[in-house]
Order: sequence, then structure tokens, then C-alpha cells
Amino acid sequence: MKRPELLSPAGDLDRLKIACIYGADAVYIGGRDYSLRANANNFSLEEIKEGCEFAHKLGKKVYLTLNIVFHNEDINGVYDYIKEAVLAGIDAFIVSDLFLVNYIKDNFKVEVHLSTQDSITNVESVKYLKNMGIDRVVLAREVRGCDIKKIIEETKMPIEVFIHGAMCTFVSGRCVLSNYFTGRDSNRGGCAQICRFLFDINDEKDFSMAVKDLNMSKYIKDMIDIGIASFKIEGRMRSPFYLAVVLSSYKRIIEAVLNNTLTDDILNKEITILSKVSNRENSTHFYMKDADISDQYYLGRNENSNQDYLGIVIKKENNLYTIRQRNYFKVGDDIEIITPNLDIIKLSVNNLLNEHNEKITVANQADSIIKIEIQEELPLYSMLRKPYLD
Amino acid sequence: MKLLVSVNKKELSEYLEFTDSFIIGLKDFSVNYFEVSLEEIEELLRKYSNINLFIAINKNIFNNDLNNLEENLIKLEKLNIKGIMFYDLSVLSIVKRLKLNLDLVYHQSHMVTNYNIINFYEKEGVKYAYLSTEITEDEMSEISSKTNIPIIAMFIGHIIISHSKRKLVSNYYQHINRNNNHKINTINEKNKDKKYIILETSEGTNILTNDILNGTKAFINLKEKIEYGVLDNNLIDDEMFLNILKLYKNNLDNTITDKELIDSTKDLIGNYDGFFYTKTIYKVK
Repeated sequence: MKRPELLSPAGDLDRLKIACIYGADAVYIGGRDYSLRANANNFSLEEIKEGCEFAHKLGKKVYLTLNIVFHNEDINGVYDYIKEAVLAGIDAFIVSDLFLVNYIKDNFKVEVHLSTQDSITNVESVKYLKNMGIDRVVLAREVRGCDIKKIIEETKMPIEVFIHGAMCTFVSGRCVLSNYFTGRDSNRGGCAQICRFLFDINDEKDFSMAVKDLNMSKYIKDMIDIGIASFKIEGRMRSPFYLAVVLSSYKRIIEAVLNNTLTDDILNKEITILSKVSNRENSTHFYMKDADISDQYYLGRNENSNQDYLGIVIKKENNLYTIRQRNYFKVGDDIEIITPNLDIIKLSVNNLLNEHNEKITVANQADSIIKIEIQEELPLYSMLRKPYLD
Repeated sequence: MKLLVSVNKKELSEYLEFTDSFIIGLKDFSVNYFEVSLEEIEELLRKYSNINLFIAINKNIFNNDLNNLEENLIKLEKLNIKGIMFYDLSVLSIVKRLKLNLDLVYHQSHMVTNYNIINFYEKEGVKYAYLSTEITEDEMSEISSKTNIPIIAMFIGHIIISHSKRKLVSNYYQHINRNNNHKINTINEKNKDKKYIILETSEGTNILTNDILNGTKAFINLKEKIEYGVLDNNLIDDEMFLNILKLYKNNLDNTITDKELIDSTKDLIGNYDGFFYTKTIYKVK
């Protein structure tokens, strides 16, 4: 079995570092221009350079999205921008507009990946793109598992598919609801997620088009068997905690598949973790069948903000760990600690100090510095969370 | 500019007084076009021997469609059609691989937004480009001046604004356990009056503007720059549509003035001009 790449979103430099530390083999990022998440923090060219240096030191890759659908006014600056990004060290561009492909391939030794925005769904199109020199295709979310298999078998093209995160209700590239409802350009990074709004339809109230999130954890073995080159996680605007939890969970599943040690118990544990961190229902959508009523989300926008993330280890002195706190917890609480080594450590909090080394009983100020003495050996960037597992 | 009608029926005689150019969908291969079978296309071309007929093959093609697609393209090559409007790259790929003598129209809905992508497809052998409805008149004008192939743009019709493979309407009615007897469904955002049309077909679900695009002013300004102006009859009352078509024809023939055309179409369908004079917002910050 070939090891698939685990590809993480990174909305900024902090997220890039967390993703690389927590098991991503590569990250995809957006610059300040030309990216489909115009309202993520995104990266300046200096940050792209710093991000690439950080990732490359760990043996990871960085892909830069240039996946807006260009208008005339966007064209002029893009060529210089590509040059600068190559100098900054990026490993591949993710493009949507095909006019960029030849320019990049003719001038630079970096890969070009075709964005899911182009909604590629069949063998014939992938062969065409391969002949053009495209190095990888991110398939449309609507492609079934059996068709992914056929595409890989018949084209030998490296294929990337989404395995986790929010889904579009509509075919990527074929939805401009945002343009018409808000004036914000869907295909240039302004998507206002109109498909998650509530509507009236005919005489009925509360019509929803929203769909459940994607969670492919139970099919990871099949997807590795098929030979998918890259497993992509959605969400450049997701939190570092979310990334750490999701990445480490999928990394454990992938390792267990490759080591032939995956059991139902292990898988169910990871499914529990992935469900808890998302706060939204999920399904496998088009992978095994046409999407149907079971893939719709009829509860409106009732996602709660997740307060499970308690803090991150930023310094260690022997067994005294300095934590940047995020959410409320107190002495006596049972917590879990996830580590970049993919471990999950359970413990009860039996001591807390503030940043002046004074004893406290509660940690209740977001972003404050606290300290905890813990016997277990924890790497930097380990994260504390509320218990996800029994 | 010539007038190109996206039809809503097989009977074309009423249109013929005003135009000889039409778009029709191919059964099981189109999104948001009136669809007919290949045999019906042959019949149309026999019945109306001098028309320019574009065939819309604009759905996303999946592996199990490919054989049929190839067979249909081979058969279409033998017919006297004007061109194929394609969305999926597989259409372009098959036409090139089999060296079919078919003129292709680059018709990727919302993605035909700049001159470079059109020039790219020209090099790939494409003969026409059908512009997105989300760009301005100025952008269309610039595209026309920086490209070599004939440009097509829509000026009248309900605009398709999203397409899903999911059965969003029937799923919802199944969820609330009620029958839906509406032939045409409309939705509006909660507490807002503006309506949109939502249609379910065998290919999934489409959402369209409820307002009819009235691009008459842009039509007048772009007459010399656009090869075909599309007037889409789908979901528009036939009598009203023919009135508009007649007005457009009369304007091209200089029998009514630009002002008369603008005033008359405004009286018929209002003045919703889409994005012709409104740039989309790139960044919110």
C-alpha cells in the first residue's frame, strides 16, 4: 500500500506550524490575493517564505492556492506574484484558471495542481489535463469511490480528494449564489455560504439546502487501497485546535491501516473524536452513492462554538509546563492531552499556578499564562482539551 | 451582433421571423436548457434546414456518461449543427482525440470571466466563448478587444446562479413529509421578499433569478463587439418573449431606436441588469 499524503489547510502561520507538527505531510495556504478564502488571514510573501522554511525543515510541503476565477483586472499582477511565491519556496500552485498552467510549467520547476473548483469528474478530462502537464487533480466532491478508482487506474494521475470538513451544497465553480444575494464574488473568495441560510419555499417555512460535513474516516482503508495520492482536509479558517485534533486522528488511522493494525475499536474511537471536534453532523456524501436526504442538514445554523480546547504547551521546565490557556478549567477536572507524537494522555488536574507561580484553583482568563506540573513527558505544542473518550 | 435564442420548445417557426440561430440542450447532457434527443435534433434540422443550431452539452460528465457522450458527438458531427456548447473538459478532449469536425463553444457558466482563459481555449481549438453573466459590460468590452474568437453573451433571460447534483427540493419535502405540487418552486431568504426560482431535474437542482435579466443597454453598447446575443425563452411567457425578440430584431434593423428598445423592454420585464454595471465584491475587508 502506498502512503497517502495528509494535506491540511492553514489559514495563517500559526496554523501552518500546528498542521506540520500534528501530522500533515503538506499544507495548502492562500496568499493575500488570488485565493478562494479572501477573508481568512492568509499569508504575506514574507510569511509564505517563513512558512515554507518551517515546513521544509520538517520535511513537509507547502502548496499555494491561486484558485480564484480571474477577472481581467486580476491578471496583470499574477505573474510577478507567481515569481515571488516560487522564490519564497512554495512546492506547488493550486490553480483553477487553466491559462496559468503553461506559464508556470514553462518558467518554474514547481508542481501545478488543478483545484476542485474545476469540478473534474471523469477519466477523459483527467487524461486531457495530464497531457497538459498538470501534476495533480483535486477531484470534484461529487465523484464516487468507484469512479475515483477508475480514474486512478486509467490515468495514473496523482489524485487528491477531500476527506473531512464542510461540504458545498452545489457543484464547485457552478455556484454564484453569494454574488446574487450579497454581491460577494463566490469564485473570487467571497463565498458568503448562502447555502446555509434558511429560506421559505413556496408556502413552506424553514427550507434548508445545507448539507452535513464530510467525514471519510471509515473509508480511509478503501481510499488507501484505491491509491489516492492525497487526503485533503477542508477549512483554512478552522482553529489550530481543530486542525491538531483532526490531523492527529486521521494520521493515527492512516498509520494503523499501513501497519495493518486498524481495528473497529480504534476506528470507532477516532470517529468519536472527529465527531466531537466538529460540532456538526457528518456523512460520506457521494462516496458510495448519490447524495440523498440523509446527507442534508435540516437543523439550521445551530452550531455551538466549541469550548473543548483548554490550552497549549508553550514552554517546559522539567515537569512544569507553561500553558497558554484558552477555555475554562479547574483543579479536579479530568482532561485529555494530545501531543504531536499522536498520543492521547488522560489525567486529572491536581495543581495550577498562575504566571507568577502562585497557586490558583481555576483557569478562567482566555489567553492567560498558567503552569501545571505533569509527570508525563509532553512535547511543546501539546494541547489540553476536555475529555473526548470514556 | 446576431440574435441567438435559447428555446423552450421544439417548434421554432414563431422565432424564425426574427432569428435563425438557436440553442437547445441534448437529452441527459444539459443543465438549464430545453432538452431534446439526438433524433429530435435531426428532425429539427430537416424541418428547419437553414438554421444555426448550437447544442448545449453542459452538464458535469461522469465516467458512466463517457461512452454515450462519445457516441453522441460522433453522430452530431454528421449533422449540420453550428456548434457544441461545452462545460466539461471531456467534451473538448473527445472532439480533439477523435479529430471531430465540430465547432466548440467554451461555456463554463460562471468561469468565463477574463480574456486570458478565452485565449487559452482558442489555442486548444475552441471557436467561440460564451461569457459569464457575472462580469460587467466594461469587462465584456475589454475581453472582446483582447481575444480573437467570436464572443457570445446573454442579455435577456432568467440567470442560472447555482447547480447541484443533489435533489434539494424533493429531499426537503420528504423531510417535512408533505407533497409538493408546484411545477415551479420559488424560494426567498427568511424575512426578505426577493424571490429566486428553484428547479429540480434529473441532473439535480438549479437556482435561477426570478427577475428577468434586461441587458438591453449593454446589448446596444456591445453590438459591434459581441457575435451572438442570447435571449433565453425558458420560463418566460412566449408572447412576451416574442415581443422582446421582435424589438431586438427591429433595433438591429434600425427600425426602432435604442431609446425605444430600452423603454419598451423595461415596460415588459423591468430593468434588472444583473452585473452589467455592478462589480462583484472581491474582498469584504
